[in-house]
Amino acid sequence: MSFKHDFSRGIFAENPTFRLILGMCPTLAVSTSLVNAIGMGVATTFVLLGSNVLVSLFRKLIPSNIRIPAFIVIIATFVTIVELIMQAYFPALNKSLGIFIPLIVVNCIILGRAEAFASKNPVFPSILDALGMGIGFTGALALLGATREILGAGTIWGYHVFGVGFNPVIIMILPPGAFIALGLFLGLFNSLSKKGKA
Amino acid sequence: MRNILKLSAVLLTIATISGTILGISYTVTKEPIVKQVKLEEEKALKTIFPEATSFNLTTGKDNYIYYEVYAKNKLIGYALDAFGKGFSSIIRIKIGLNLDKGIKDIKIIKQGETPGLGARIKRKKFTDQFMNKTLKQISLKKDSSKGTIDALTGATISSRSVSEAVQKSITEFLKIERKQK
Repeated sequence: MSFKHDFSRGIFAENPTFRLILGMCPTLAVSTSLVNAIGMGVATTFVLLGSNVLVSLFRKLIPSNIRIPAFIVIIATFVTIVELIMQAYFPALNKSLGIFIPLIVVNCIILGRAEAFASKNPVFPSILDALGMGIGFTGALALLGATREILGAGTIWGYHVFGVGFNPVIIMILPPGAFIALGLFLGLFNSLSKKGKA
Repeated sequence: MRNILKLSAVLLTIATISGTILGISYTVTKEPIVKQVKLEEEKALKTIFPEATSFNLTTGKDNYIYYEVYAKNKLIGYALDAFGKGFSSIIRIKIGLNLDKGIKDIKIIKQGETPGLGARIKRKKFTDQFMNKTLKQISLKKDSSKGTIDALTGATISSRSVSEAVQKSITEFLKIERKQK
């Protein structure tokens, strides 16, 4: 296992959204527009980085029987502190990312990486793992968000792409659209990765 | 048995440390957060009253809270808060009133309506419809013959929620006003 592999794995081969199918709840909920998708992706990457570092630091102190509750406490504490600090000192950041932070505590990517990687590996590879997974998650969300926004609202990053006459497919930004888009992308990624193996 | 005690002790330690750290961060950030919220509030009020120099939070009769808006020590209007239950969220609205209690402008402060549909209530094209309207005119065209507000296509519930909240809030303010005289 090389460092390069630790980093790149999350982006395609073990992409949290399209390959591991982790963190579906925020994925479906916030991929209504590209702005939301990027916001959620960046916030998740940041929290993932912090939680991976902390879990990796404490991994030898925590008995394995109680590792899950211990990880949850560590992650929740970290997220809450980040939220408080953002509210107090970074109002602009808080305005764009604030609503996603509480959602992240329940994102199973964070716990999933703590359990599967950070609890068994030193700090540096854990950082790489967090960055790779974070970028993979952000990319996947951006792909879904952009697709749904273009089809469902006729805009991208808030700007109109089709002119005024375009009649958007509203269902794409409603909850069913999330499942439709996710299903199609999952199928696409599955067929792509099969071709790679053959 | 020994093991359970040891595990509990470790978890207790972790929880205690987390609790302490959380307590400290809460205390440290409490003041700045209150300040930020107030700043945010005034920024929103400033977009409705660009000429204003100060906003005085006032408590009227029946603990009714509103802002008196001053420009260079002269009262120029009032600002009210309104809440409406939208399609998928609570919509928070700030209403600016002129001295004659006519609507100067409204601004959607917070909403979580469907992006691309209900979320369009925050656009100027929708909120501008409320400017200089009388109380009776603040209804959707399709709800009342006197109504003058065009609902957004595909977002009737959100549009109705805003107009009803604005109407309710101003009605209440006028009632309190009358009591105070």
